[in-house]
Amino acid sequence: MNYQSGGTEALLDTASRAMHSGVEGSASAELEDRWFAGAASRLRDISRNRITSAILKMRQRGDDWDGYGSLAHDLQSIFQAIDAVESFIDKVSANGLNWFDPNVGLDENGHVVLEWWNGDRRFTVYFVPDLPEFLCSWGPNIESQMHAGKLTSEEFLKKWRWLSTCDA
Amino acid sequence: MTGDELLSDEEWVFRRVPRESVPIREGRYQIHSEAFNDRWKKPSVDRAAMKSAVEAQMAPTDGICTLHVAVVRSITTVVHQGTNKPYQVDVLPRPIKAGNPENEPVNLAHSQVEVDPEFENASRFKKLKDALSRLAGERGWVIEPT
Repeated sequence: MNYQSGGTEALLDTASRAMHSGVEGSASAELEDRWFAGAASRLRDISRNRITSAILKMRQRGDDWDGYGSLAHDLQSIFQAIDAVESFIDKVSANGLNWFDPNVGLDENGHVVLEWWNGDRRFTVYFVPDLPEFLCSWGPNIESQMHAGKLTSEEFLKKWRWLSTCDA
Repeated sequence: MTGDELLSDEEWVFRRVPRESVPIREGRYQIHSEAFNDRWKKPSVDRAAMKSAVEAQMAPTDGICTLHVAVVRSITTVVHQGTNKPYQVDVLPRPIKAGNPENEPVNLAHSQVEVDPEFENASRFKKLKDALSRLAGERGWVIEPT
């Protein structure tokens, strides 16, 4: 897999291989359990803080911040996105999947947008009122290479699996 | 040219992208869908035949990317549910002339990516922005943001 940014799980894999080269058997498993649980948790915290900080930075964007008439940030959308990131990272981790950070931006209505790229695959989440909306795309054809809808909790994991299994 | 002439398939247009809309990944500036935000769902572009890339910048930090008109017009495959006819994506001349009611600076090269009929829901426009950012990304930057 060729992620756009280094995944925390990939880092842990590397560390695990290094650790296993010097420690064998049950001692290795015990060491891994004790050390990696804490390390993985800290790495998730770092990721969560980094994304939250990027989302909060969107508060600096006022009306017409881009010169194309876009509206200022929507505070409700910012809170919604921060809550969702927490939940997304937990879900990905609980299911043993790799996490990597999205690009953070705003749409023309001031709603927070998280956009992940993995090769040709893109997974974009818009924090609009009520349920967030998603867009999955794998090419520029808006009929045959894109799929959009409301993002439920179950839907997020399905889309994440789709995104992260791309052999880019 | 007065700016009122229809764009030919062979023309190129510039899209100005503010620096803050351009994330850096692996040392490269990327063109995300945010680069085509437009409150009125008609992203503005400038005709390359009438304006240089430098002239298309508003700030010296802006990036300038480019789109081929024929390629934009090829995004026509979505069917309108009401009329069962395809949406027609086009690049139309919308010159901003002296004495315009909004008092905007004159820009005869100004054009817009427009859809006929207009999208009836927001998700269609999200798809259009995704498609435009992919097409612009294939060509890369004419001027990189700084």
